[in-house]
Amino acid sequence: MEKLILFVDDSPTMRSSVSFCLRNAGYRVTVAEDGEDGLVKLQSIKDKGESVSLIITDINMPKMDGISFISKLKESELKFVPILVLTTEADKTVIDQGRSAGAAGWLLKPFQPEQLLWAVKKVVWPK
Amino acid sequence: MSEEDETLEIFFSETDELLRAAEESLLSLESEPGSASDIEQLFRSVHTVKSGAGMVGFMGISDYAHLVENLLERVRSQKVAVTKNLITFLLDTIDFIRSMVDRVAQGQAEVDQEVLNQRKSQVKRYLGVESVSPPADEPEAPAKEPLEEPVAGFRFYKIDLKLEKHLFYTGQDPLLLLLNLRELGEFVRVVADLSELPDFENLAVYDLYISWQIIIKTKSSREDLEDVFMFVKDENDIRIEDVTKRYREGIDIELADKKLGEVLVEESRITEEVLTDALKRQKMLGEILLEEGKIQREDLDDVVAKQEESRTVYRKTSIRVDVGKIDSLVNLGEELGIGLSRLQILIEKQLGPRQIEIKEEMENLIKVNRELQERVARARMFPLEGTFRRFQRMARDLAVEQKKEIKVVLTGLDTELDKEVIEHCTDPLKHLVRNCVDHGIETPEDREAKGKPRWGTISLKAYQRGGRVFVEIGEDGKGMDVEQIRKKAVEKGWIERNEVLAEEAVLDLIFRPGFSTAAEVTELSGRGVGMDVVKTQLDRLGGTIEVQTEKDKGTTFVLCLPLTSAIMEVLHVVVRGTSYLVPVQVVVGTESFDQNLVKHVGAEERVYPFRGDYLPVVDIGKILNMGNASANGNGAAVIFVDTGQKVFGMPVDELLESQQIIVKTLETNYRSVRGLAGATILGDGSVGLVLDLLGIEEMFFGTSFKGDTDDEGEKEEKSG
Repeated sequence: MEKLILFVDDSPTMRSSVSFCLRNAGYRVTVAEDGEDGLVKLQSIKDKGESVSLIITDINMPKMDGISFISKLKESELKFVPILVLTTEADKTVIDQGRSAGAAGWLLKPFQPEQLLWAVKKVVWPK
Repeated sequence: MSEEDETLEIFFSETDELLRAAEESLLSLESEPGSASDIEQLFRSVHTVKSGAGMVGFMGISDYAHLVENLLERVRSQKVAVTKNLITFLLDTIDFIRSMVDRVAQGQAEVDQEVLNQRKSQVKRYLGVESVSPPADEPEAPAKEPLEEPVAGFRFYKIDLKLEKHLFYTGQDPLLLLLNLRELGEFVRVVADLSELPDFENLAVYDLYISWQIIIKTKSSREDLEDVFMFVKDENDIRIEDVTKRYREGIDIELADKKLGEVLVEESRITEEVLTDALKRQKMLGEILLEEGKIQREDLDDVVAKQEESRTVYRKTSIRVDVGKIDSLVNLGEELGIGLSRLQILIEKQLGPRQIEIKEEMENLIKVNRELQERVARARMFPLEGTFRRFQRMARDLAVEQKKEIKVVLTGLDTELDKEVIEHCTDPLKHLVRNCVDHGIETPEDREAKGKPRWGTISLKAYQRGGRVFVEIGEDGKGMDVEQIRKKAVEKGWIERNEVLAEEAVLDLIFRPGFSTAAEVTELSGRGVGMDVVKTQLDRLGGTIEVQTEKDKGTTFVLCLPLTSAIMEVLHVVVRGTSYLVPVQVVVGTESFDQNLVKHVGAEERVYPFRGDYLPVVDIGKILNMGNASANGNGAAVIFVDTGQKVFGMPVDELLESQQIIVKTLETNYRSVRGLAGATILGDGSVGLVLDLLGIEEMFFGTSFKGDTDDEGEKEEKSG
């Protein structure tokens, strides 16, 4: 079974393009619109008896932003799942926030498919 | 010097050696076209040049050498035949590689891309044209040689990976890092440091205790490596160091010199404490044997000393030393010598009961100093091998050009000469070697007609005898026609038609200015340099040249060179209070001065009888404009010198002992002075001027005699 990645972003274009790219690369993708939705999706994954290998999340999102989402995850049993944060700002502070919240890495938008896959590869074990 | 520069230095000197070795193999291959060992040696040389160039990033050289290597691979597998053409071509490729290396050594770009492409397609053409099998199997070549590119373009990095304890909580995994890293290259060594790992009961399973050290061999850049650690590098201690220099052919050369214990600790196989503890218990083999009474203390010490001695010799390697450093040692040795001589004079004046002892000690010190000076002078000496090899190559090229067949035999390659002497005698030697090919060796057809082998042999031979080095350059060609030389000399009016001259005397005429028997001119020797220039250059060096020849047997030039240009044997003379030093080798005799024997020629010129002839008398003081001008120019003795062109006498007031001196040029501290070769400090601390007799001769005969008594001097020379 292919590795499962949860992608959280409020932009449909992003969700569409990123999942296309990741599926193309041989991953399964579940998408969520924000942090809250993300937690819901994770619960249903767990209910199905599956687990995620990676969570990629945007930072600036309505309802629950990326940082809060990460903090919630780190309190859960998923604390060892690697998380990549997406951000549009080449701003160190966002990256630092994500990192101190416990993210494994980051990705600056806009990115090329290769950059995305290379970042994923850095934190997800190959099959 | 930075590590990078050092790597480059090593690359340049290694490449120089490799290219020379390649050339040597090619020349030897030419005389024995089937020699597998020569092909192998050649292949390896080029291969190593290629790899080295890749390592230091000279991709043009590396690429080109790679193609040449492919060609050589085909030679090796006998797909390409060793022909004269091929050898000429390969020699040319070696030259081209050298030219690229020279350029980068001077900080220029390796090569113009267009030129490189052109050169590359030349090799490719050879790969195609000379190939016996169809070019279709060309791609197979690398497969046949799995070791094709072991190190080309690879670099070695040492990566110290010390990650923070809570790494796992960020979703990171150190093993994944290693895995990604391994995609960039090959791990030469991975060492996991487990020393921080706690006891089982204290172990927190989600904490990280292990750190790693990795040596990776990779073509990727440092940036690529750093990128692997992009997400973790800020919080963690990750160090990447380029250790390419340490790795040769993939092997850690530093291990060679390390002690076993050191390596074990470094690789975390044992801890420092374990090592120290074990070392404490370790006994030397000698101690064990002594304890067991298997050996006597003296015998053991003896062997240990011998071994130490052998190791010293074994480790003897060459280092590059600035000539300036050696020169300063030469100067110090000389100053020491001067101090000692002065001391010696003082002691001799100071009579006392212990004078004998002091004198003996003094003499001992002088002896030690002489040895010191000799040894330092020896440090400036180099074997003639490099020079000879160059000539070998040159002779070969010339012969090919003239469609002659030759073999060049070198002997005495390890004969050493002072660097400066080598530099100054290179041109004369080159000229002689050219002469051998141009005028000595006949065409293969002519040789066969004479019943000689088609191959002409040119031999370069060097040996040392009695403090001088002899270099013989000989060939087995047509030999010189003594009668022809005689005729020519008569034509030039140098000798009388019926004058009786020994053969040697006739042969000596070829060294005269204006004598040239070469009617034909070849590309290399047509530079208008005659034998007279060869002779002059050797004279200036303090060397001599002789020629032996026999019709159809060949000609040999014998050069006699001083071991070093710095040390000179001179005769110390005093003229009107000034000390002059006359190189001993030009002195043909001395006589006490008798006013009554002087004959006057014209207003100012005088001649003095010497061995049945009247020789011009030269007043050094007047020529050099030194001392009292109103003096009569007489003296207590006359010293006769032969410069090779003229023989003349010089009156001197005092004739002192001969001695060895180190000549210092005047240019360094003053300026060059006509008639003086240099100066030196004498034993008593005063300055002695070394005469340049060729200069004196020019000044004297050029201005005053204007050739009228010239003939007389020359007749003397011819008959003597």
